[in-house]
Amino acid sequence: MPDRRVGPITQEHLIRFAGAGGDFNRFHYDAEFVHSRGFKGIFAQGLFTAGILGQTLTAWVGPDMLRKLKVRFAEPVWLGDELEFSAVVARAYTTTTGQAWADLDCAVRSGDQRQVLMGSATIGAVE
Amino acid sequence: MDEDLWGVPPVTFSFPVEWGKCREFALALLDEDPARPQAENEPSPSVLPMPPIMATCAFRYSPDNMPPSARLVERGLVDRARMLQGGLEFEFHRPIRSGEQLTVTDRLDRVHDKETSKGTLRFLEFETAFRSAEGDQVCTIRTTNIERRS
Repeated sequence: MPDRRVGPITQEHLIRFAGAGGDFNRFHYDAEFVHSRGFKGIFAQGLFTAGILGQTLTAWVGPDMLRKLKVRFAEPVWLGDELEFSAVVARAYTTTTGQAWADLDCAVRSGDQRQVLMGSATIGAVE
Repeated sequence: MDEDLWGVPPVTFSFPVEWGKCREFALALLDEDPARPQAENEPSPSVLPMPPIMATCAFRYSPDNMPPSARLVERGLVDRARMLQGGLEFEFHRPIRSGEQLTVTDRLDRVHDKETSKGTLRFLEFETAFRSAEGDQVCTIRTTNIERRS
């Protein structure tokens, strides 16, 4: 997958995503609340980052080709972060029914080289 | 195994995959034009693919508007302040399109404890299964939440 850069992440991004998904957790828009809980600032919904990865993968291979997506949230994404999405083929194989599938290693890194999300995906046609 | 956790029954509900919600999700996820016409003067497609991550928000259509982990918190079986989101895994058995009406079942699938240098961690694994009108399973989500026990 061609690497994709997104950002800087703004409050508008997080509010739009909150509106779409209905997750109005105050960690994603209320600076006073976030500071009172000991965080340095507002951070993005984990699903926001995972969701951009999902859209980037399906834009690359086509919406019908994503079979699996597995993510683990490693670090917060802060307002102002720039993100780089990447995915490389770890294994290509033919299924028992003759479909060409591939397993991908996926990562999202911030501009300061923190790995904020790690994951894997499987792409290929439905068997 | 904590019997109380298993006393919370699975919840089943309908999930309409709406065109507007697919488009709203895709735009919020910085998909530049999710309803892009394929040629000049061609109308926007009448059917959109469901953004993969949109499946996680199906619980908004459940009777109690809660993900399965929140049901355990509400019953006092899990401490929200001690709980973190671990992994999230999607499996798509076939593509999902706007206009479909899916049946969703949320349930607790597995619970196990792990001793670590920082104390006991409890891993709560939830499964959300999506079935088509014909009864075929079209998508499965597995979510792991980690509760610090000590």
